[in-house]
Amino acid sequence: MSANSIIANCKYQLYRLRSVPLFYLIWVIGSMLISATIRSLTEKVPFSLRETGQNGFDALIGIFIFAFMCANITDFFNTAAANGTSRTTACVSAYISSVIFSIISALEVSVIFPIMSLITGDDEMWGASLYGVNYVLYDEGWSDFAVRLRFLGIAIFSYIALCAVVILIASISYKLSNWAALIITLLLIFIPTGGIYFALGEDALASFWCSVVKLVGLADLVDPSSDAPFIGNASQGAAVFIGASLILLLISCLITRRSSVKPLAIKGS
Amino acid sequence: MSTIEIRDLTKNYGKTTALSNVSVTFKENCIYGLLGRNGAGKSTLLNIISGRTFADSGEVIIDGVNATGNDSALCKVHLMSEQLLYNPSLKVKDMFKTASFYYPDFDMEYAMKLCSEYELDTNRKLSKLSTGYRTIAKAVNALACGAPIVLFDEPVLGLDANHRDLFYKHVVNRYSERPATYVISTHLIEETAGIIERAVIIKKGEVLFDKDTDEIRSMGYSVSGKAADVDEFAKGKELMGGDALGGLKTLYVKGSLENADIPEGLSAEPMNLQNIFIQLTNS
Repeated sequence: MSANSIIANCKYQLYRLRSVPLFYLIWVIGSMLISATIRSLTEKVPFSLRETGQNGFDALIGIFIFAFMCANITDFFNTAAANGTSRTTACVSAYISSVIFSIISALEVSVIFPIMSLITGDDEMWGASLYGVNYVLYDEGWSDFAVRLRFLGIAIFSYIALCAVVILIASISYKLSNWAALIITLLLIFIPTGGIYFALGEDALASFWCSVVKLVGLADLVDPSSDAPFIGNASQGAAVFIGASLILLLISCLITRRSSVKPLAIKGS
Repeated sequence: MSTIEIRDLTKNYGKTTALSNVSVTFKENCIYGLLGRNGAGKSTLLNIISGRTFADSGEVIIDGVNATGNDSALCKVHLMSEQLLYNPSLKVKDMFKTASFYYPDFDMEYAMKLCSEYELDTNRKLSKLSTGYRTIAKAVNALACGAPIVLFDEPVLGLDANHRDLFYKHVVNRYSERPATYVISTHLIEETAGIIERAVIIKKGEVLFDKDTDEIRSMGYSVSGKAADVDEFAKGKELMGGDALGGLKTLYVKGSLENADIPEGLSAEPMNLQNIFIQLTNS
């Protein structure tokens, strides 16, 4: 692995993702306009952007990040291979790019969200509120800046973990044939859901997911011990997200270390 | 320095052996022809050198460093292959821009100049180009990248005669302006014979030989004439092969034409690279 190769990979990867922040903005404006138009037509009320905001906009961006990384990750591996870079470097670079991309995306959310709330008059309800709603945090003495920083941090770390999942899935599909990769990916999805249910029963499945929720710092959500307003353990969540992402990265590097290249198909060829 | 040493490289695809204990050295600043029949293992060898696939055993040493998974060695190599590893949705100029991220010596001005000579529209997406123009785009990318080792795998695939001629001229011009190690794998032996300095011939996954092209040409000569006369002349001589047509016969004889005492009635001429290749690789 060399610094020059990592920088070159990151440059290309971020170059490919450069239009995504613009997409977020277009999405927000477009969805507000469409909502207002539909409401105006169906409810026969004057066109207004009031109450056209989106709760959990940061979570929606997480889904977009997942989708955009899925769409580009094989290209990242191939372009690296085409230009004298090892597969391990490609994985590490994709991870570094995803960290930068996550930070940029979360910062954009933190700018767009308040503006959207201002225009629509809706409350700014972050997906990160799962770790404690803003007014509860205010009551607990948190400043507005600290609350925003907390939301921002949770968003960034969860995005990084999502990107690491994409890198892992891409590594599997890069190493194996398409069918084998599909089967392995489906198994990875099935085992923590239906697999546990069928093998060990409903209680085991509930217990598994409760443990996951506790692990990411949301213990009180599944095991409320008092009537106190809920504030999750955001730092534990962030640590788990980053730790899990690093483990996934390590597995991805090991999987792809000696994978032959898998070029993208050219339509019509 | 930009030398590639291949040591005991073996690669199997299932039960098929693509390369078997291949050892060869590509010295710096030389144009090599990597020749072999279909399935001989040429592309596999180039893919292993560039880290696109991996050998079962053996080593690829670039400038004294094991290149497997090693960026500092791999970044000295650029492989222009039949496969397109760049995103097909990239425009040609974006492919050049991408390559410039990885190869600091990428010459964008030179790339654009070549594109205009080939009449290649750099604003077109790679996926929208014909096979020939996609080959040109990749070839231009390889020539302009500035890597000290450039490997070409079938670089004229789908090119018309004019473009092939232009490509060979560009290789020679670029090489004289900026010497590098070029390895050209091709089936069009006679077309490349004029530009390659050394030839590495692979047969069934093994290196048959690695020699200067002049040395190869002096390996044998052809003798033609009446079958009986030719057979008489060939007695006691080491042969590469032969052809017969009616009562006429041509035999390919090992050795130097200068030392051969050709009897009257027979005609002899030096063998060209393609002829020698065909005779040596015929199974």
